[in-house]
Amino acid sequence: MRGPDFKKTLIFLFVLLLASQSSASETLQVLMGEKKLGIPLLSIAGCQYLPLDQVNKVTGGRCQNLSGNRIQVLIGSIPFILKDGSARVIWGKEGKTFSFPPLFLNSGWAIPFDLFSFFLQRKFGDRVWWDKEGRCVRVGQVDYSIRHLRHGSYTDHTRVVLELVRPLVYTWREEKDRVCLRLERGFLPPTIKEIPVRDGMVTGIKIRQGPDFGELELFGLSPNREVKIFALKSPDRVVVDLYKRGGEADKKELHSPASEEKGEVPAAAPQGSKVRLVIDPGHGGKDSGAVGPSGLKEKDVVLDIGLRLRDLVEKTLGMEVIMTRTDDTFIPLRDRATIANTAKGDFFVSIHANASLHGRAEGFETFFLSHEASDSEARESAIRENEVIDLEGLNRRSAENLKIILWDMAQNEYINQSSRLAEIIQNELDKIQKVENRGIKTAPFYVLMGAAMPAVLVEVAFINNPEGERSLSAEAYRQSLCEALFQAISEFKGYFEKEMGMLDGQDRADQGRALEKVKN
Amino acid sequence: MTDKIERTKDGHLKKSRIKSIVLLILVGILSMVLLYQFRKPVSSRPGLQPSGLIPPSLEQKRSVRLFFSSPTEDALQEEVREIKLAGAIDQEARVAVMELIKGPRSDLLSTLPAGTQLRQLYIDGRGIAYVDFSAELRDRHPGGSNAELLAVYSIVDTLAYNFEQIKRVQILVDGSEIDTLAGHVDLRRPLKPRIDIYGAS
Repeated sequence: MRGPDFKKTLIFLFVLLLASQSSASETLQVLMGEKKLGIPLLSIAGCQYLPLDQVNKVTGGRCQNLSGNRIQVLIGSIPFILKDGSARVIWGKEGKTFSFPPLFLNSGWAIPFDLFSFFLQRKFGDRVWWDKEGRCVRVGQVDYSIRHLRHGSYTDHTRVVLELVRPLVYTWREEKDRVCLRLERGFLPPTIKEIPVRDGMVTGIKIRQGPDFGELELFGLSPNREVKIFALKSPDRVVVDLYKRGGEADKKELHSPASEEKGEVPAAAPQGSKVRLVIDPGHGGKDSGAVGPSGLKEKDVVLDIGLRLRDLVEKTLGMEVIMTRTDDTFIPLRDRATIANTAKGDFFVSIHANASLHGRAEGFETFFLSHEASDSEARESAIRENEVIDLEGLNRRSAENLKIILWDMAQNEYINQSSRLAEIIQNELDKIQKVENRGIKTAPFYVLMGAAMPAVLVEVAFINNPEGERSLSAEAYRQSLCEALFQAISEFKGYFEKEMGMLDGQDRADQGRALEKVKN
Repeated sequence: MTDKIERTKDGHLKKSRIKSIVLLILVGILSMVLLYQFRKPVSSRPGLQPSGLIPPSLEQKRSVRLFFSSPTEDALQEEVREIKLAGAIDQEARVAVMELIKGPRSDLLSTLPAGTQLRQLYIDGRGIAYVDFSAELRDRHPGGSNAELLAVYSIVDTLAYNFEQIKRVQILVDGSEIDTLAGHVDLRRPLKPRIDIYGAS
């Protein structure tokens, strides 16, 4: 038994093994405008699967069986090819690896949760919302005309920006300590939440959805203020600027609002809320990591790349960089995630150099966490370790359940973003490397397990083959690896900032409040 | 009444059924061999007795699939090996792991460091196999995430794919839980077998 036969048998055994554990227990509610659809969730090996025929009812997908245990799912005009037992889904010349493979079960095809989420986004684009409070997915018809709310605190002013899908008519009124901005035909998506600002200028931002308008209330304003409200194009947005009266404000008036806004990259992170990158150079101290044939140590190579990357990112991207180590010290794995979580990192890149058993392997690959992280046991300990959620006042049992649901949802989101980051890194490394692109992979890596943020582990090269060791010992090569990683981080930063608004990015830290609502 | 016995002793019944099937096949093969021999002139086989077909030296064996590293790729590949049928699953699982430690007989590569010893193996009621190794498994590991993934999953998959009672595998060193072998794969919890470590799909 070799090749496909062998694999088929393995998959068969695997499915058999899983079949005993699988059970249809929960239902995912999908709201399509007025229509409501319940999709049964199958829990197979700790991963949540959905029956493909039910998914098709949401996405309008049409199926056609192909040879070799494959199936084509036509969504819109794009044919996606799924293969039984293979986590890679292919369409045209593109492909994407998901956390778990689609499976052909007795009852038909089942697809993993993240593939479902991907299909939804292909089909509905921006019109998909994960409604945590309602525990359902909203797709399609609902026309949210407001896209995103962001704010930035600067030394002399606070800016609040409401991004719109199209231009909207707005009015505003100013009271003693508040400003209310009303947008006619403004519909707020559930992803826009109230934000605490507390920067001395504004205490916080409240939102309100009226029957045919959306309202934004900036409250707790300093009486000593000057308010400027104006609309801008591409993208359509309404900007509220609050200046301290006197002092700096007078100077600022010299700038026209438009020119000032122009200098801003869309959704750029203003001071005070810089995107935070955590760089984790692998191993260190007594742990040398892998060692090359002439003695080059992984710990030294990856520290050098990590430090170079930090300098480049800080200097050029204006991001805040947190290093898990900056010298040759031993940092236990459990402390690395803690460092990242305590610093409230936005994403995590662990840098490693690989070693193979036969000492001849070449190439580079990037790992992200497999779905094993949402295994009950792993999940429980991840929740314990992170305590992302504040659960005051709930009874223990429902608190546990809610923790698990929210952790799962957060993990699902992190897994999507991690896989994206991994893909970007592989693409960038591919541009500068002559050796094999080994692709993106999943693995239950310790250091990725506890990080409450998108996290990847990149193996930049193999250190235990003579050629790889020679390359890694050259400064120019390490610099080029660092530049490729820098390009990837730069690209992901843009994607991440956009995603923060579209999905549940920024309320990660605010899950306590989401629970507050569930409770009431 | 019979129903009840069937249900409670399900495992044993199945086992004995498998045994009897294996036995039947063996008997079949043997009798065919004997039949073939009988066609030869009888004079050349003076001592043959037609009764007592199974000689006592013929032990009952089963084959296990051991997972080693491919010599060229970073992937696991199986090697089939015969082990004695012991009756007790944990005993057979122990033998399978010891064969894994001995290394491959073909051109495949060993995944576990030389000097590694199996200290203990037991299976709990939830289908988790706890496999306790000597410290060499961790201390002599060459490092690198690929080498580590192969070491870990050669153990996990060898156990999970050969013994259907084993659903997950927890690797221990010197009787204690460990974080990792070489700084990557999380071993704090039992692991499930993987189907995607067998080369690219």
